[in-house]
This record gives sequence, C-alpha cells and structure tokens, in this order.
Amino acid sequence: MTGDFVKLWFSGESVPAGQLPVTAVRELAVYQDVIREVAAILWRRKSNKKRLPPHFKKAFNLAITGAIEEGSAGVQLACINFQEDMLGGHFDDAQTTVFEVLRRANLEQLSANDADYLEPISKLGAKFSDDFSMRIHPRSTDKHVRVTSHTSRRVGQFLKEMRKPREVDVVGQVFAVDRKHCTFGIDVVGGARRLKGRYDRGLLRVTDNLLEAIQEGAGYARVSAMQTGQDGELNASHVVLLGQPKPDFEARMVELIQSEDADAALADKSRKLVRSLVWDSSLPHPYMYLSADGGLRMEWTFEGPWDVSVGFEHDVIFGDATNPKTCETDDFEVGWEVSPTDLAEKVRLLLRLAGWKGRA
Amino acid sequence: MSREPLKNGLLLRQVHPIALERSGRLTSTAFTPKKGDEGELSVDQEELTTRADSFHRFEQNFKKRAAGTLGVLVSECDEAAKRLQVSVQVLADPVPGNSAHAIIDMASLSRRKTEKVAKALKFIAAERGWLYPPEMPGEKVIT
Repeated sequence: MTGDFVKLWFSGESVPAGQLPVTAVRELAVYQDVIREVAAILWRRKSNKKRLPPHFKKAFNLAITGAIEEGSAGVQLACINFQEDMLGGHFDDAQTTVFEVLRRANLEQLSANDADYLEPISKLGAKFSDDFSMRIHPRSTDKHVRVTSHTSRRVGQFLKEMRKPREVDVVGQVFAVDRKHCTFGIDVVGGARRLKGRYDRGLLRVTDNLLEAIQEGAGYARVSAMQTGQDGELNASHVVLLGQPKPDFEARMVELIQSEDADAALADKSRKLVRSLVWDSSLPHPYMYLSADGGLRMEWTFEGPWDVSVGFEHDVIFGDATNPKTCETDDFEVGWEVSPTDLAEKVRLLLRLAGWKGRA
Repeated sequence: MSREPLKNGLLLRQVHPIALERSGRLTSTAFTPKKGDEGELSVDQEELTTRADSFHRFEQNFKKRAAGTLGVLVSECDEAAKRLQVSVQVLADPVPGNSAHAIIDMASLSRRKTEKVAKALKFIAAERGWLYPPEMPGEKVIT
C-alpha cells in the first residue's frame, strides 16, 4: 500500500516561502522514526510480546511527494513500501497517538498514561529554534497540531518528572532486585492477583491499575523482584508503594516488639530486614517470634525435620539450617550492613539445602 | 552445692509462651539459653520432682505463665551433642527452693552451635509431646 500519510508545514523567520530549510529536512526523518517507535510500542502492548515481527520498523517508509508548497514550506509525505497485511493499522494508530500526545503537551495536560510514548516523541522539535515550528496534518483528521521548541521542552520536563521515583505512601520498600529481566512483580495477597510492572532507566512504572489493585487486595503489596537500571542498583529506599501492610504480619511484629520479653531497640532495628524477607515472594512465608535475646527471629519449616532460621542479634544477623535428625547443618553470619537482596539470597541457599524447591 | 554430671533421667523444661508462634507452633527458642543465662539452660530432674510441681514452681517463681512442660532424656542430650560434634554437659544444679534444678550446659558453645543444639533438643522434645499439662487426645506439639 502506498498513499498520503501526513502533511507537515514548517514556518518561521528562517523559512523562506516555498523553500525547505535543512532543519526541516532533518525533522522529516525524525518524524518517520518517531512513528516507527510509537508503532512498535503499540504493537508490543497489543500483542503482549516483546519481539517485533521481522522488518517491522523498516517496512514503514515515508517519502516526499509533490512540490514544496508556497506560503510557508509545506511537504506532503506518503507511505511507501507499506505492507498492509503485516502492519495493519499500527502506523496510523501511532500517528494518532503522537498527534494526541503533542496536543496534550501543548495544553500542559500530559498524564502518566502518556509515559510510554514520551521518549520517542521528545525528539520531535528538539532542535528547533524558538521562531521555528512544524504543523502536523495527519490524513486521518482535518485538524492539526503544532510542534515548537516549547512543545519539546514540555515533553522532556514531563518525562524527567516521570522518571523520578514515585513516593506515594509508605508501606514497604522495594527490596529484591532482578538484574536480568527488567521487571518487578507485586503479589496482591488475598486479591489473588499477580501483577507485573516495569522499571525502565530509573522510572518505576507504578500504574494506576496497579495502585487500585493493591488497594482492592487484602491490603498489602509484596514485591517479588525489581531490576537494576543501567546505572546500577536502584536505591530502593526511595521507592515506596501504595497500600497497607499485611495486617497479621504487621500486627504480629508490633505485638512482639512491644512485649515485655522483647529487647525493643533490637527488635525495632530489625524491622526493615524482617520485612524484606516477609515480602520477598521468591521465599516461602516464615514464622516470626522473639529470640531468647528479645530480638526478632524468623523460622521456616518443611515436611522434613529441617529448621531454617534467621535471628537478628545485637552484633550480627545469624542464619542457620539444621536437620536435627541427621545433624546436617549450614549457617551464615552477616553484619547489619547487609543488603536485603544479599540477605534474601543467603536465606534462599539455606532453604534449598533444607529441601525447598521454590523459585531459583 | 556441687554440680554433678547427670548420667540419665528425664529433664523437664518449662516452655515460655514466647517460644511458641501464635499458631501454637513450637520454636527452638524453647531450648535456647537467654543472654543472662550465660549458656546454661535450666531444667528440672523428673526423678526429684513432679511434672506438675515443676510447672507451677516456674509460674510462681518467675511470675510468668508457662505454656507447658516438655522433656528430654539426658542420654538424648548426649546423643544430640555427639552427632553435632559439640560438648554439652548436663549438670545437677540444686538451688534454694528447687533441689531438682539442673542445667544443660552450653556455655562453651558458640552462638551457632547453641542454635543447632537447641533445634535438635526441640525436635526430640516435640516428638515426646507435652508432658504437662497432659496432652488432650490427638493433641501434638506443632513443629
């Protein structure tokens, strides 16, 4: 299929009537790339697949058709080599999406729903001087949207804001880190729903749906994994999720800390690491009680006689797996500076020794 | 009074409620000496007292509620220590008001080893079940 796709009008003091400045020519290529990128995002979202069909992006090509129009410089772009059967309406949809996002950017009405498209769209107009603008007239509508340097700045600023870790309401921190898969998962216990989110170059994408789901659930979110960004491990202490702590777990912890047998300072000190183990859904759920020293202790048991425990003591955190029948044992001892991720990994090794066949 | 090593007999251990998880599940805390105990786990010799007396004396002396009484044999302590390759002694330790008092001496053990011995003793005691108050039919120690 070939045919008119869009008309782009360039105007400004540096645009002589009927002539196309080099800046504008460069913007034609940017526009093509933006449509390709947004179409790819839409396709992945609809198909729920990561991998694009072969030659997906290259199958969409724009070419200038006709003469440069008088007035300001207007060019008609048409699709060439457009493979309708494979591409469907993704590129038309992409253009509509770009159009709407730019319109909202001009009205300063960008929202979190636009977040996925802002990265490619921010390239449009990025090189424009203040007196230079581009009007986009898609074939699908008789309306147009204007792109200026202001539009580009608004998109860029909103993108920057979106990439800041969102601080919503304190429930728990994101602890576990999955370096491979660039995803984090949240189990909504009681709601029996498992949701996945995405962490992309510093932005933890907590969608509105996800927040609602957490609220609808039994009241707490358990974060199973989150990946690191390109610049290393996320400082998870800055990321918090909306919801309420699991009632029985939190109540139990408070009950223990406040009991007369507790060493309140010691028990309180261990809250963060205890939570990290309870909420790490790659681990089975532990029991929690007070140690002989009055600190918090966690224990996991299985079908067999194995006992795996982690005790939070004054100087160290101590993990142990013992089979009282055969007296096979293993243990670890780490300082309080241990990261939640490393602690979970050490516990996981003990659990595996004890015969746990859970997630790797 | 001297601390004589004990060779046999059943040792009664009072279990404080904090050693039980809220579900009633027994934890190894029941056989772990507290910090102030300096590695000595208090028990009573059954042959010098009764299960009921041991239970009520604990509640009276320490003004604490006991969840129940568990028991391990001296020989079982020795066996567990042997399997764990540690040295644990059971010593008579009569104190004023309780001539049946004895200790399972883990003072020479590291924190890690103490932990393992506690787990082993918990396992043995749980298999024997609650000695006092007597178990109801079908009742088992949850481990």
